Amino acid sequence: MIIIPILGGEKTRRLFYVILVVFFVATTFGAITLTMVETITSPARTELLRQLLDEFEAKHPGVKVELISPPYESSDQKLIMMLNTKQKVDVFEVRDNFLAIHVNNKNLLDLTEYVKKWDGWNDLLDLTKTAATKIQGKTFYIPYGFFIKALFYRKDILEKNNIPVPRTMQELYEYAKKLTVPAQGKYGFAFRGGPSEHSFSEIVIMSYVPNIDPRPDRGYLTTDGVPYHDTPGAIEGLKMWIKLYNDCSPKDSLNWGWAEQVNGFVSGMTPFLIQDPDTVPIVERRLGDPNLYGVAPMPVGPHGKVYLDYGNAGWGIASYSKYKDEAWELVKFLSSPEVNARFSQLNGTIPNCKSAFADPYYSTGPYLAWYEELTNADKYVFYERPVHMAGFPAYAEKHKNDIQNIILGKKDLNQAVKEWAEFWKKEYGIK
Amino acid sequence: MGGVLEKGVWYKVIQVGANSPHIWGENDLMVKDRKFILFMILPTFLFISVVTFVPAIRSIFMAFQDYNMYYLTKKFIGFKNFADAFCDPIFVQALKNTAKWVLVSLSLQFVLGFSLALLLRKPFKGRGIYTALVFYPWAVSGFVIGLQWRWMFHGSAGVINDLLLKIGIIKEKIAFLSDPHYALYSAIVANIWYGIPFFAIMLLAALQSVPQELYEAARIDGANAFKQFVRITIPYVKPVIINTTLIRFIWIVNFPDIIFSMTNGGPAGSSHILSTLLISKVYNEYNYGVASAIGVVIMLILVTYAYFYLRFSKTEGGF
Amino acid sequence: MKRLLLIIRVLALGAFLMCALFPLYWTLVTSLKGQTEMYTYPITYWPKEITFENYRYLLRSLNFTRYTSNSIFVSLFSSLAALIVASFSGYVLARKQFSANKVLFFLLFMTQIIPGFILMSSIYVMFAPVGFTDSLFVLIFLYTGIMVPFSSIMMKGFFERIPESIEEAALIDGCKKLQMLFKVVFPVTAPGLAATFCFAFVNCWNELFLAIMLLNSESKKTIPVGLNSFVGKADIDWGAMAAGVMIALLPAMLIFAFAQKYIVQGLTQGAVKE
Repeated sequence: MIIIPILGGEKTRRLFYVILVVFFVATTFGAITLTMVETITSPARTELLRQLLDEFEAKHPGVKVELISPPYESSDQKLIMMLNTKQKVDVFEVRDNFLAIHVNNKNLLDLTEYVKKWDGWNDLLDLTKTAATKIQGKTFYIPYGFFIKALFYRKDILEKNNIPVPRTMQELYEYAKKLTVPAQGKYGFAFRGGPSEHSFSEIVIMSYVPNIDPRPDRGYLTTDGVPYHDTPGAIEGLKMWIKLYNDCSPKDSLNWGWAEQVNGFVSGMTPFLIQDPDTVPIVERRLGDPNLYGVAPMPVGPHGKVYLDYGNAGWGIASYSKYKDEAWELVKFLSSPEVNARFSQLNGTIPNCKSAFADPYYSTGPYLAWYEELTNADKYVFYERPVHMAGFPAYAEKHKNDIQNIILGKKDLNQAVKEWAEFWKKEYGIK
Repeated sequence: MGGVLEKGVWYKVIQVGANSPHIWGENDLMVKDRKFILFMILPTFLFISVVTFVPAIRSIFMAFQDYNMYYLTKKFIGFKNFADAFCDPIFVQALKNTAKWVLVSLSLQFVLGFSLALLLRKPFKGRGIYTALVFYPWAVSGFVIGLQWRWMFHGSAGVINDLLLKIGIIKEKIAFLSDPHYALYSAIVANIWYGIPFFAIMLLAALQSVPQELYEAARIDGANAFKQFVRITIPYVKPVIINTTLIRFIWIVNFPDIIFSMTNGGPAGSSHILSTLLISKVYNEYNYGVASAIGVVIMLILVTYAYFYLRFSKTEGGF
Repeated sequence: MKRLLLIIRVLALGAFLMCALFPLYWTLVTSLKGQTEMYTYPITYWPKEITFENYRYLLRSLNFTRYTSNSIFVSLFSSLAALIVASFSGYVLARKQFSANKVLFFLLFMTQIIPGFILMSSIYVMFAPVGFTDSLFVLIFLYTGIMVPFSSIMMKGFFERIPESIEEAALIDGCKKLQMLFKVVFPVTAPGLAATFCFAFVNCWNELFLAIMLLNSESKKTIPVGLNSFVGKADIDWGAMAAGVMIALLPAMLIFAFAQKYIVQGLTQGAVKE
């Protein structure tokens, strides 16, 4: 039976049978099965999504939703393979860094026409709309929420040492340094040197640059139209980032990822932590007491502002889906304020719409920090990393390796920033 | 042969094969026996073609194609993927690391495995249970081992740091997985732990097959334990040693699981071996072309290795 | 002198056992710790408070029983299939009647040098368009194919140890060749078959990447896929993972404990060529 896929004739015949059967089943019973793929998976989130999908099924008799949840590490890879081999997928999770891949490979349906008839659109945050329409001005997906960085701090440790919450990067460095006593295993800052370190280091580095261009298609460029990397401000910022490692962080943080950072924070070893909102529920659960920590808006650089990337993910529809209208119903359902709020609470993302912030869960407590970031456009400038450009993954890998090498004394700092700038000049075709 | 097989494609293939003069040597048998042999090996051919060779040929093709998920053109671009791979400084690092990874792991796995086998040769009370326990790492999957050891090697909450501090070997915690001096070797430790049982089992079996009379004769000649070991044991188990180290070498080169889940090649690519670099090209850069090129390089290295290994160890045909 | 050697032997055996078991012990301790104790410092070598929370979580919300039965089903049938296919070709290889044996052996050997990971996408592209995904039978087929080469090489070693005379006797008695194999040759090789089976079983039991690629639905997942899902976007749920590892190890260890006598015996038969 396995010979079949090799022989072309059999293949088409088989496909024909499959289509015939699907057609037959669909017309006879009228039942539709939507297939949905999630990629940022975790057992708890899958459980909630399944619950939400059950509710959707209850509201739409005749539509069933099948949920595919591959383990996180391989999920993106699997989704791309599924889409490229045109497997049955109707709705899938679109992460911002994969948006370009999905659009380039023509696997993502343009939702612009659907959105026009949707009254939920107006309730979305401006940031959601910007994210949704960033490629060619067309809406390719509806973001369900944002990963925006803020500063976590340990209230108890700061109070004990009589240290206030830092407002600038300089203050963050000074306070963190004061807390650092390596002999006692105490440090100030949970440095991130491992995977995706760029989304941490660049916040500190860019906050020293006065003129980053916030337009989505100008990621990493200054308003002068050149890469920010080797501007004097950026070099100063990079030096600050390295000082944060040398003077305030444990040695092994050079390769820390999320888990190590959070362990350091929860154990009290590193009381300052830059992290995304999805860390809130986990930190709270592990600390066991919400009074032990707080979240503050990101400290600003010497120019009184900080540039924040708005990492996000959302729901999109496969361009080749046979049930586009039903799939759109599902996307609408998942994006509705009530469902979105429930999903965001477990997921830890910042919700995508204005009405969600009426919920006291988001207007008080730790999430207040993000609310302030979202509503203070002078201080907190949102920009977009050029994740849609083909060179981005290679750049991220290079950035990580270069910074680690600078710290290890194997690479010259000025050389590295020059290489990064050259990299993006080449990507953007700037002479 | 069974009546069922007298019909259909199968039978035709066997029929044609049995009568074809091209695949049979001069000393080969009657048509009836030929049919029997074909019947016996055809399933194997079928399985290895569908599961390994056909996909492998496609993957080797990809090494010469522009197979980047960002802009999937599938154009033929000659050796550009190879050039891209070679120009990456991490590739060179990974090449060196592969050598360290395989040589250190293999030699220690072998030495420790052999010692364990020697210790287990003579029966003792409870040997059955002991063997079952001491061989269990063999039953654990690579990625689980990676995660177990990552947890144990943790720079601050890890049990290994804690133990070393308590014993007094180190004074300050070592960032095993974040220090380029230690990262690869930490993974090697885990790999050795995993690989000892394989050698121990294989060599224990070989040791037990050495006829006892040989030792008795040697003892009468006055040979001491060491001489007995060198003159009888080693020559007798030599074929097993050669075969197991050969196959194990290949498996270790193609075994990214532990490094992948322990350090993911970090820090700064310092613990990448070729097979983890290959995964990282797929998982982090979505570039199947370059990944396949690295895969082809791995295959070339292994073929060369196997060729010379078998030539210099002078066994007939291996295995 | 003898005493000293004995002491060294006992100490060495003890050291090997400790090194082998320590990670297992640590996994057990981790699986019994609660969420907070896992991260408290200084670390504890035995949980202050033993909790079965992690195990309950696995069994309640994660279909872990389903994963286990899937894994048993897949591993059992693929290693059985691999055993049958491999003993056929292993037999032919061992009996050296066939001049193409060298080619066959070379091909079997070549399968081992190909990095498994580069096959993944090609296999998917071959299998997915015709609907061969999300099926345990397809997984069994693939695992069988992966296990056949080395199993054949192993079986070849075992068959070489069996004197040809017993076959001749059986043939004279009027057995057909295939009958002769099942009635005479295989029973004699039983320990070797057991060794090969265990080898294949353990490998199938642990296979991760193909299972992730090919299985979609929750009800089809195998244990490694289930374990891998504890590695999240950022977090690794060490407690649940450790509990899962303990459960996953049990069957493999039991099989091994039960069969290890035969494995060593079987391998001893095949160990040395004449």
